[in-house]
Amino acid sequence: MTHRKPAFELEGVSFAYAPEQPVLSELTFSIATGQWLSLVGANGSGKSTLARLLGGLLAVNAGVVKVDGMELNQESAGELMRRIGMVFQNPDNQFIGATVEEDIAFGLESLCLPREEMLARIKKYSNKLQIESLLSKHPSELSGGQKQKVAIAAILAMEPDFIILDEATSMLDEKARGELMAIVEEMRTSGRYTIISITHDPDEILKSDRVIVLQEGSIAADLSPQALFMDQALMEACHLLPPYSVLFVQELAQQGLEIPMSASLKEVEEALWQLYLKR
Amino acid sequence: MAIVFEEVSFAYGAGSVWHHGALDHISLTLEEGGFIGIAGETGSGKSTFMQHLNGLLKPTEGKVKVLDVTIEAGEKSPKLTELRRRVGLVFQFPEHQLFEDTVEKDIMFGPLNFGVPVEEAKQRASKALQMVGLSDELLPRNPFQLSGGQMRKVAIASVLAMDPQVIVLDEPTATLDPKSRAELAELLNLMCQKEGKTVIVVTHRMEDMLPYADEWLVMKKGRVIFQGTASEMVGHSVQLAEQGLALPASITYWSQLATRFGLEDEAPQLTAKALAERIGGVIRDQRDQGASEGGSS
Repeated sequence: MTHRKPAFELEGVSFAYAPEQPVLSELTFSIATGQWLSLVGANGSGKSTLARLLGGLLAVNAGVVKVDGMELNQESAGELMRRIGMVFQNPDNQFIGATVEEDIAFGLESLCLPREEMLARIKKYSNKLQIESLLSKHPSELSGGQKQKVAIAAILAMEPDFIILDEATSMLDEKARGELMAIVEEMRTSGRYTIISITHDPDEILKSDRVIVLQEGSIAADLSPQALFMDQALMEACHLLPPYSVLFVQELAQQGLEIPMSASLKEVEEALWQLYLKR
Repeated sequence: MAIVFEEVSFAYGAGSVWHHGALDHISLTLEEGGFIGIAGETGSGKSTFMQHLNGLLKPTEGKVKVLDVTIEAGEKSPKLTELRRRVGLVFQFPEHQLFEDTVEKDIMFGPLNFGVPVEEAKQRASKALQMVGLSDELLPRNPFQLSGGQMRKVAIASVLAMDPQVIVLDEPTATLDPKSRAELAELLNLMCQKEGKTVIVVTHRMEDMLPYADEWLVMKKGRVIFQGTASEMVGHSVQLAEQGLALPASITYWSQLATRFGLEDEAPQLTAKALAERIGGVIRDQRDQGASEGGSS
């Protein structure tokens, strides 16, 4: 087996917008290629700043960020950033084109793709996100959730190796969020993307491979999603609540009814019904 | 006076049939002092609806009455300054309504603009920031250097500082962490219960507001397809799901377990704790009954 370099390696990374207010201090960790990492923490804990450092939009004050083994600096940024796709909280900040189609094409032009390939990709990814009917619209005609889908399609069409989602699903309705999660899961399965997702959404966290918890600019924990939801003190510290499914199983345990934590609604229903029949 | 919509339609482009975000003949009444949740798919017209509540958008057909002001299609609008003080809107993207170079100036802007003296505006800024759970230390900071969640809280504070009678928020919890979300819902509930304010929340996260909202509107393609309490919504959950509404887990869990255990006619238990207690009770009763039958035979 060939040894693969980690997608991201951070060593002693610190950052501050103003010296008296440090945002991130001395972060050291690495992210394996193909991993889906959730970055969580309370509002203001430094998550978005870290995402911008990883994406090359901000430069570190101290320490080193390596992307696929190469140090991210002024010389390498151009080449590396081409391989990193970022989707932000507010999709308005990433619109350039006069129509949705132009907007997706804009990113592809920067990759110098032939026209047929561009059209094929626009078709493929607009179909994937079910935004074909929006292609001829001006971005201002779209609702918040629709804009976010377009932004995501534009990034995916560039087929980056590393994808950073900065609360990309926070403006989407439940249904659209579910659709997007299915796409991210498919991306993980394909094995060709490394995904870093900043999120507060417990269902999204539960699906990822690994969680890094930020607290006041430092790493408070680095663990599996299941371990995170079991650790109530940590959950409290990073202002998280478990998903309803986990919460309900915990409350059932309080009633003396033991059900496995990862049970689906169907499984919970069946288990409870068996307890009821058992008398 | 309550909020009344009479046959209100709004089209973004004249002559278009139905357009994303348009409104299509909406008639409804919302009582003063209520806590109202508005749900619906992306593009169903929720944000357009809320912009009619302080005259930011004017109906292209029909009549909107808010407090004592009537805005009617085709008529010259009345003076809206006073209405805009009394109806505070918090938009989907908070950075759109921030513009000053310090948090304090940003929150003071509204009150000053409506004639509040500087000293009082300062006090209001500090109080409003506290209400949304942020510390006074942020007052001198540049709002654009705050995190997304903090910006949102500042935007909400700047509306609260104007002391509006009606508070309308578009997806206020979207970028907040879960604890801040629960705190915001709690705060809105308090403003409604204690200060008699009318609170209207447009949200796709129904679970956040479910414990507090007296009434829900569900929108689809510019129409209101449901208006009623959370309990009534549970009763219509199958139809609403068919209409494409993604229901929160608390409702799907209740519906499915209530059907299995024959509890459909009861008031729905919409928190994990209440539902677990109810189901625990049913199972215990069954066991006790089993035990007593076993003892008597």
